[in-house]
Amino acid sequence: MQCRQVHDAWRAGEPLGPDARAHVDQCEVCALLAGDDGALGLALGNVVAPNEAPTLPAALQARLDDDGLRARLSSWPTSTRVIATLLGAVLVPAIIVAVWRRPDFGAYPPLRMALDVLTFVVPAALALWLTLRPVHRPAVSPGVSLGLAIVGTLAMLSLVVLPEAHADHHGSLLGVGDDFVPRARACFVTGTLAGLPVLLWVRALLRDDGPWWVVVTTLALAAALVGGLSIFLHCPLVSPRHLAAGHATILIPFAVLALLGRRRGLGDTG
Amino acid sequence: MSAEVSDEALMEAYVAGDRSAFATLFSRYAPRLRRLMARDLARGTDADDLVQQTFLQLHRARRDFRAGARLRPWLFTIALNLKRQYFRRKGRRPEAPLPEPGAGDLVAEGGDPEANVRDAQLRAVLDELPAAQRDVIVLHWFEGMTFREIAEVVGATQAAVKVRAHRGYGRLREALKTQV
Repeated sequence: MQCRQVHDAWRAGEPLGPDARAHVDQCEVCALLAGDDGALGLALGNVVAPNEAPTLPAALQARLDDDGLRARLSSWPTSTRVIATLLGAVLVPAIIVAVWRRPDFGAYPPLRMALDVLTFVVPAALALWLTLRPVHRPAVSPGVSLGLAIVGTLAMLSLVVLPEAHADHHGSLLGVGDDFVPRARACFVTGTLAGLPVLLWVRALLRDDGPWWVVVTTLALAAALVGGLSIFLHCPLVSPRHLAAGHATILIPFAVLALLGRRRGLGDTG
Repeated sequence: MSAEVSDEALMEAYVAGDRSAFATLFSRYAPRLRRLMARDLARGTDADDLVQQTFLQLHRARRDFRAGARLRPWLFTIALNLKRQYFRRKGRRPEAPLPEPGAGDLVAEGGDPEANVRDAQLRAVLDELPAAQRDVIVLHWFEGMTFREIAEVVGATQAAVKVRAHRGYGRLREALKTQV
């Protein structure tokens, strides 16, 4: 016996049977409705829904009929969208590791390397998870997204303030003096370009169903982190000045994109 | 598609390509969702827009629907999430609904004028409840959902949902007593 069956009896104005009375005895809420000889239950039983049967509005029908590329991508099951997103996010860093890996890979302390990579991967994965969270799941508090944005930003900045990972490779000691600006600029541009495909790819997979400012923030953060990871896996320089000017600054264009996206709105629910 | 076909069967038919199944779901649920929206919105067009957004998102998420799942909690979760997003985006709290005759609000059965007045007052008290309590009562009483389903829909624990229901029904009961 469930609440609904008791409510149906009230709606029908029927006396409660033994099963219904037993339910009322153990359900605090139904007991409240049954108080005063069931006055509230009987009164609510009189309030019913109207028998309207509206037809699909033409504007909605037109959107349902949209069969464009984005409509098809965004209607993939969430599990497929998650796999596609992970493949997209891994692709650029994987290519870099395969063909354009930092030359000091052997000299970099393995534990530090693992921790540095996780510094990018963990917040990026969480940001993508939040970005793709479907609207038919209970909503996550916007505070979680804001907290993640702060943590992700601090994670990227933390690499700047950590002690230099090593000084065992001549390539890691470049980027000083006249070489500082060109190398920092090259890393900034490369890292930004490495993050952009992720942003565009995940954008195509979105259903525009989440709180839009949360979506633009988490998506931009994830793209910045993938860009940062990509350049980390490529660039051997370990100087904090270079990491600040060439790597951490990758956050800036994505923050600007997030603000622009926030202003314009991402789509239907934006 | 007959009215006896379950929501889940309709949804599965839609996922399989039967477009009329979606229209049936719309005619079945749009009035209920509009009521849910209209209670917090001063403008009927905003409520209509949110109902359409709900169905658009249902359409976009259709391939996430798994056989054996129940459609109604799914649909109401989408609707309540979109309503919350609407208020966050607007940066304001739920508004007092404007009276909209014939706009699909709950109606009283029967022609007893005294009962009709009482029911109208009860509906007014229901409309004045905090949104969190009112949503739970709408889902529990009018939609017949279990507390487990409601907890899933509103993203709270069953205990929290029961507390909201208890408080909301309690206020309705007090209001009813004062009317008698």
